[in-house]
Amino acid sequence: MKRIALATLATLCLAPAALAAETKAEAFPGGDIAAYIDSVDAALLPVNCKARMAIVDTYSSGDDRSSEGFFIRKNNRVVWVATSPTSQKNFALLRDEDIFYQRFANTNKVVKTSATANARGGETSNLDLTRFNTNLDYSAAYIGMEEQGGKPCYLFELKAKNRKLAYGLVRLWVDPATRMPVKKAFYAVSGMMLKYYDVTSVELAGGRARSIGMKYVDALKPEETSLLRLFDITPLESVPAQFFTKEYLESGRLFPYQF
Amino acid sequence: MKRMTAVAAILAACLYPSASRCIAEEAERPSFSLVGSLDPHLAYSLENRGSVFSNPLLGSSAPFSDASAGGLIDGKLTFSRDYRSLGLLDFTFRDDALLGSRDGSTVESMAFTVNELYADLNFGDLLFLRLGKQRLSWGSGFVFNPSDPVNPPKDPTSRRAVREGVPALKAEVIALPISLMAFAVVHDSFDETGYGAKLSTSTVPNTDLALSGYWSPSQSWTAALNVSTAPFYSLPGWDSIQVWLEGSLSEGGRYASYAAGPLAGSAAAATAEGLQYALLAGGSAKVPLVRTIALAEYYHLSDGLERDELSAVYRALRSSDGAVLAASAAWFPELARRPGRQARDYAFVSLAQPSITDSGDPVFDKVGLSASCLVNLADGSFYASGDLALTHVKDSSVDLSANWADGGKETEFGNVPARLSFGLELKVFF
Repeated sequence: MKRIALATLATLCLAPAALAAETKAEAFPGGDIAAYIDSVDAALLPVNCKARMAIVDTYSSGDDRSSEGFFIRKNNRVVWVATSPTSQKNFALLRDEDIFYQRFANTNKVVKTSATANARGGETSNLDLTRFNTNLDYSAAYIGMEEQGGKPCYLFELKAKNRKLAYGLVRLWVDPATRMPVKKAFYAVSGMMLKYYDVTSVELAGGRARSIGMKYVDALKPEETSLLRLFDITPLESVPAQFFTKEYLESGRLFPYQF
Repeated sequence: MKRMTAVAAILAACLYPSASRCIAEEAERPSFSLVGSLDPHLAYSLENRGSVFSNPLLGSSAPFSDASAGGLIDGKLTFSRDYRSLGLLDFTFRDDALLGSRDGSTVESMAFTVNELYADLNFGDLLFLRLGKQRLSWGSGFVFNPSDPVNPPKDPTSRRAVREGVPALKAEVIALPISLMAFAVVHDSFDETGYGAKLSTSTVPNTDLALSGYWSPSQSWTAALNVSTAPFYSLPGWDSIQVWLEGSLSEGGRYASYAAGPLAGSAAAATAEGLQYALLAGGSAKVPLVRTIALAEYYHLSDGLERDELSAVYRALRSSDGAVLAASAAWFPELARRPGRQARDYAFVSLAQPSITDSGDPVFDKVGLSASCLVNLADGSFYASGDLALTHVKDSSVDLSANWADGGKETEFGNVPARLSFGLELKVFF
């Protein structure tokens, strides 16, 4: 028993090192990596924007759960407001840089919540719903070209900058032709893959996404998935910073971006 | 109330020509929305014959029932024109019927309550005005908010959250890093108008801090501090731990204090003089993997009653001597207005399981459990609740609840009229 425990411990300790050894960084042909990652983020979601989001969680039991909402982004600040199901209308999740708050659906009470919490259930954490600035949360390294879904893609390795984040390591495959993510895989600190998403659909307009569909898969239970769809992605000229405060959320005031 | 309704209606009518837009992308278009719930319920209670409210000298005023049924509609009607202007009506319509009271009669009562009715006006993206009946957000305490001198107090022995607001004019400057709220609250008459302000900030890492003050010619002044922090916010697994502290100082007590009555054995209600304080400390955490949310609070009121004083009050109200009872009668309304605030010290614990499983199980994913207990630390009495919520049908929930109050004849919760009560509630959201 002791031997098994020691072997397990050794595996856990060596896994990140093995993963790092496997994925030696290469010179990036696209120039500055951070700037490229920023442009990938901007092609997906502009720095100031609004969009609608629909999520369907499917479980191994065959049961599913769906929710819809809209969000507003101002760089590293995001507020997500639920519009469906009916019992969750008015529920809101706020990310103000590294702090997360949630507002309950039936009252305007606002409480602090964490990045790793799962305010709406399913495979998507609070961070998944609000992480749109990759360079803020991760340090990126270019690993090389790798085929993904029949296309040659840039493969990046993203390492978490702080322990608040849900995943220690993330791998990102980007289509060089469109600068759109094709796949993203999320790993624990031990190096074990926790989940991944495949981009299932993209609608482009003017060099940026108008809508995108992503299928999150639980790597440990592949039959459990979340289909997340961002649509009506609309850039905005400016967004007041006041919207991203606890006080504004608590006041129960509307956000001007109802769809 | 009429005055406030008229003011809110005038303001709502003025909403259309509101301030100019700064967000060019949005078209100004008025819209209405209605959200809420329809909520029929049944309740059965076992009366507490040992309660002071069952004193035979009180005649038929004992408020007991064996079974009751009712229904209510909670709704929020919102009128908005972008976010620049907003009108909101939050109402509750309820119809309750006693199906089998002790004397065999059936009594039906209907009520329509306007919880909030207000109009919002925004100036630029900095100054926000709200006029009308509204709840002013205050304090992080779960069962009690010592820093809140304005809103109707929470009743820990009632399952329904207090939603009714107060008529007020509020101006808010929401800015980074500090926000300021100033308000005037109109009570029964304009002479009783109270004025207050609150400064809040989140500049201290992982901490929300608020300082507030309130003054009213009829209620003197209150100064308060509110702090909530997540001390391990940077540590995954520990990031759900939160602690909060809420405290207030005021000139004079909010509640009556005890004094010996004019007759032997009677109890008089006296005024609490001098500087008074109230303090609440609490904490909560989510247990990893099982997802149970545990919450605990302790609070202390300097104008609460000591054990001996509470005993003397309840003894007087149970007296078989009509003269003693009459001399002590002022305590009936006083006790009724301070549920969970009669004594000096209280402790509250709560455990909530949002769902038994979270893995797609068609049955247990949609079963939630919660239990809580409020203990009067002065007399040892308690009020315990348990709740089972089923959400198998979309946009609805079924709640089964049970409450138990006990602790002895001369204690606060030992005198709650219903010793045991059970409820069945169906909620349909729209």
